[in-house]
Amino acid sequence: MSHRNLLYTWIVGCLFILPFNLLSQELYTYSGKFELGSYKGDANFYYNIIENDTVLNGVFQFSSASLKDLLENKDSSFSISGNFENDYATGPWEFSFNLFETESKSSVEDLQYVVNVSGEQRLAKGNLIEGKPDGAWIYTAQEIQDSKVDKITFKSTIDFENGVPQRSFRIEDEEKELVGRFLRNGIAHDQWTLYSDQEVDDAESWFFSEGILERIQITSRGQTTNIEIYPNTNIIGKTITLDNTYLEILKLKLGADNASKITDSGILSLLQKNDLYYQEIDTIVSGISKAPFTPQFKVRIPYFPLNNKETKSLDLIADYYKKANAICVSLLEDTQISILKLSDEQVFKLYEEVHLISNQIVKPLGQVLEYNTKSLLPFFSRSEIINKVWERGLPSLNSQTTPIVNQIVSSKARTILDVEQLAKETFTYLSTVEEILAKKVNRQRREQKAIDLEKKMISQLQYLEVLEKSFETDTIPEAYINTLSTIKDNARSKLNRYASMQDLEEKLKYAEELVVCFDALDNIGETILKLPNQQNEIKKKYQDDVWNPFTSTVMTEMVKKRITQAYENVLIPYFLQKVEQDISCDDSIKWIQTVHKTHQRMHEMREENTRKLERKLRKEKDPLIILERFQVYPINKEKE
Amino acid sequence: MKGNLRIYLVFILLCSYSVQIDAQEDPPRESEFKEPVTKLWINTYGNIRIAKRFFWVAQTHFRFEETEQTPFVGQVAQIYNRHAIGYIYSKKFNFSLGGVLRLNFNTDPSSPDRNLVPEWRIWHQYMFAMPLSNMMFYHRIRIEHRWTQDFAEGSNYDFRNRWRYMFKAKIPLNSPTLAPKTFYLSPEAELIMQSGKPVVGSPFEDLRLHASFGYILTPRMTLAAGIMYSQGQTLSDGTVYKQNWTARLHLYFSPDFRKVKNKLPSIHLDD
Repeated sequence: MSHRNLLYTWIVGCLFILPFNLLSQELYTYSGKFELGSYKGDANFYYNIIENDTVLNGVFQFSSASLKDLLENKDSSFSISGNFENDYATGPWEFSFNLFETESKSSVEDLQYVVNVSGEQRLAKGNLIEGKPDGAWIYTAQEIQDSKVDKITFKSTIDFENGVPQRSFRIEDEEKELVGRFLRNGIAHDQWTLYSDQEVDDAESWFFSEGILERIQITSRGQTTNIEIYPNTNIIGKTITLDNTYLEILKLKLGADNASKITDSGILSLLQKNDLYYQEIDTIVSGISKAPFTPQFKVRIPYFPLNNKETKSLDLIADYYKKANAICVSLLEDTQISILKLSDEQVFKLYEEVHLISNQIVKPLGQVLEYNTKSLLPFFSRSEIINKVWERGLPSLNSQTTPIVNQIVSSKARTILDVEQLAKETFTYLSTVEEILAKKVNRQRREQKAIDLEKKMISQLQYLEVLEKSFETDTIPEAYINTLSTIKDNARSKLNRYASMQDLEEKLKYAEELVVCFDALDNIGETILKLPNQQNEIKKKYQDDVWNPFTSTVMTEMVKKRITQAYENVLIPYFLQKVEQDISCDDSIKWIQTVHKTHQRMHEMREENTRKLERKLRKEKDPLIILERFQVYPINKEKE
Repeated sequence: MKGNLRIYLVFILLCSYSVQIDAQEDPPRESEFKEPVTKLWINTYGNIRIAKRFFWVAQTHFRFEETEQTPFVGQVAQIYNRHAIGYIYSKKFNFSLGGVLRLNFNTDPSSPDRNLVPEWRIWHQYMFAMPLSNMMFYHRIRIEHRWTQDFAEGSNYDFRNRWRYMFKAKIPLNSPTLAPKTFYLSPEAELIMQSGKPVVGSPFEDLRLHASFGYILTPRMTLAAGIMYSQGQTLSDGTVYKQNWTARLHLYFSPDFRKVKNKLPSIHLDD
């Protein structure tokens, strides 16, 4: 063999081996804890690492079951098994979701403990190609009793081709059975019929024409009802998935009366249930596979996309609605207004108007916005949606007439812009009403406040009378009673002045002052009430026990007599006199503070060395000088 | 029979002896009471607190006596200076020990003897106080050891003991207790007995019945005035009884010079 031949042989060899090199990526195995969305359990699978990405390849098993949970209470278990090819779920797949409990009865068979379980099981079985269902998929929900299938509560059989449902399908539960068919492109076609297992004649049929639902026929107890949905099958429309949104559109389309018929309809509930189960599998499969697993039940529906103007308009409507609704809620729930409307005709009228506006304009506006949030608006003409929300036509506001909301049945086609105009007008009008009512309520609140203040003042005055009476029953010098009586007269004259005032604002202001003032007067009364006791307290405090050797008894003796005499003979009369001289409210607080401070100083001076002070007090009769000597200053003086 | 005879003889002898005594001197059949003498006593009583339990007794008494022309205050009779240190055992009991210097003036205008002689005493007394209702009762035992001498020039000192017991009450009149600004009534009885060599047949020196009316100015100052009747045997002749009517003025004072911080806690003593 020549060198040239050797080289050719090597090159050919390399080219021959290359695909094997590429294909023979190393396959890894994973076996252990695995988490997929809300599912946690143990998994076994194979995978390659390609460009740092995990690529699933080969058998995939993921399950969870807890014997402990089962024995103690209930076990929520699952089991998923299938196959992957280059990260796509491909091949036969099986899903099982269980909720089992056991009666804790067990037996041993072939060296294994066998425990019977009861509960619910949902099974899904079918073939996938590149993540999409292909061939027949059977979804079963069944009840298990002692490890045996007791009854099947739900079963759906659907044929797919590359993810697109084909031919006929069958969905059944314990009572009903739905049979229908699709075109090759997955679009609903022909008659979908729901048979009742119990009533032979009862049936519900949806008639599709290449995805457009023409009508619904309901036969019940020998009577047949036909509900037209989209009789015009020539519309181009938009192809959408038969999902919850489609069902919502249908409900809205049918209106309140007919919607209830299909809301109770078995077709709708079976389709919804089926949708729910398929979504559960979709959540799992799309979590591990590149392609989404969604049953492509398709329908066609008229489509009126929102233009830019309409989108902006809807934003503005949302804004007006938010503000208008807030005003309505605050006004209608205001207890003051609720009470005021009983006595004020204007408030009553405005309240009723707000109520009307709230029901006939604001709430429907909210409904329009809700449809927008649910993305339902593009599937209806604007007139249709407006007429659905306002059955009697778009109302208008007229503040010159009563009632203010005019319900106009108009054949004129209405647009979203008309709704925006209404929302704007409504908000503006409600703002005005709010302003008017706020003024009314404020006045009412002020009046109420005045009443509250008056009650308070009366009770304060009564308190002074109670104080005076409590004095009379005691053996208290008359001077104190006279002083208290003066305070009471003082308060009463202030109250008379208040009563004679006309201006409400001024009256309210004065009442607020008086409440504070009367509080101070009550405090003065309380302080005076305490004075006799305080004097006794001071008297006792300034007594010394002295041993008299001539009587062999202990005698009490007054000490620091000049201080106690100045307190008793000069200061106390001075305090009482000050109160009697029509003490002002501001001075009341100072007075109370002076009396308290004096009392406090009397306690302190007992312990202090007061020789000098006593000398200075000799023959002193001026209360202000005595207070100064006692180091008691009115508060404002201290601040200076 | 022999026994009866013996008793009879003893009886006869005893009888004859008593007849013999009677036959020696004719004893006085009854006591003689002198005319009462009027007097005025001005007494100051000082109890000066010097410690928690100790006090200084300082008493000065001025005693006047009638003359023929002037009743009660005619002449100075005695000046007392009585001092002692007292101990307060409890509120209900205290005792004192000290000395007395008494200056005795000769009140006999006809006497040629000395006009003034001193008398010395050592005394101790035991004072018991008893509260009863709102009143106070006092028992005072005072024992004095006295040295006296006559006015005659060159007289020797005679030593005698005096045994005194006084019972006194103080009854507040215008106040529930004995407190400052209270008037009180104080009846008092004191029996004074004496003993000693010079005392022959005259142990009953004095019985003083005194009632006074007092006013408590402050716990430290009390004033009182009263009248006292007294009688007792004269030393030289036990059958002769002297009698006195004495007007008495009392000033009680009890200053306390201790510092305040020492004074305060000690008031209640054991309480």
